[in-house]
Amino acid sequence: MAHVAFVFIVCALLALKWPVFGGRNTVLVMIGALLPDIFKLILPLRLIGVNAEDALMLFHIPVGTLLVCGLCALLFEAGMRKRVFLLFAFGMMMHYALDVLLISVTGGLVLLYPLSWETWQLDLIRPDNWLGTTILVGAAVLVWLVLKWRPHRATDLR
Amino acid sequence: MRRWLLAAVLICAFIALAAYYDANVTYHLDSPRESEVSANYDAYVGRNVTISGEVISTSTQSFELKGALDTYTIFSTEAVQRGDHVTVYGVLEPGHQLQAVAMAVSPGVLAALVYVRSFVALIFVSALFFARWRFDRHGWVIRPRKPGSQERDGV
Repeated sequence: MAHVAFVFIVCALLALKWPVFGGRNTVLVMIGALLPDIFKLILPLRLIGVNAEDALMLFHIPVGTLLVCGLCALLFEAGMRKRVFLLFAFGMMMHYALDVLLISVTGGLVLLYPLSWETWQLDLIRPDNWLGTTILVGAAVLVWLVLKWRPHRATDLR
Repeated sequence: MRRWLLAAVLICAFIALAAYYDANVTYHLDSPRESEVSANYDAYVGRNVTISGEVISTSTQSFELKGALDTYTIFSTEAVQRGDHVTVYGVLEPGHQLQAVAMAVSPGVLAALVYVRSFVALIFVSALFFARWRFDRHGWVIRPRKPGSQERDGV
């Protein structure tokens, strides 16, 4: 939820100067921000006794998410695939920008795999921090309301 | 045709990278996890390991942590409660015991809430997406619901 709210705010601000981030394209950036979380499929799999954490981890590593962005972009009609891919990739970058702030005991994000196995983490925010998420969602709602009363902007999400 | 070929290449690349990660991650971990420890417990005694699980009971100087495969006694003075989700980094001792060095404690409700939030976000973004884009079954492609709208396309 924090990723979606963060991406919405960033896109709304960027769309003031670059309209490509507004309108129906905003939701593509939001989807890009959710793609790394396909990794969370490990949870329902765990319930049926399958531990696929390592096999599915690539979804939550930039190179793997980029491949998924490419696959998803291929679902769109020719002529817009490149732009869709770039918007997905931008959302993905926003996801990792937030995730790298989180506290991790186990090491952190393997951002440069397969070039390097080094892990990265800034250890600033707890993963279960509900206050930060609430503030981000509140700010996103505020931005949405401001845009709602500015009907001639391209960044509407009504 | 070119589209399907490209999709096949991307899928193959993903499978290859995922398989390589799965096969080699054990050698690059900062500290072994429960799956590695359980496979050869004695080899990891005295080394730093990471164990995650749920607190099932507590006492003054320790608590019992139920991992995915075994239950461990964790020696730590940090306050935890039954039901908390804990990740412990510490020194493994004989008899499924661990001397904690660092811990991340998350109340059970908050840990579950992280996934509830993700699910809500998924539903919200899906609804938003299908309000603006549609799947064309004939061409197996996704198209804008209102093609030609320059303003909405943001170009």
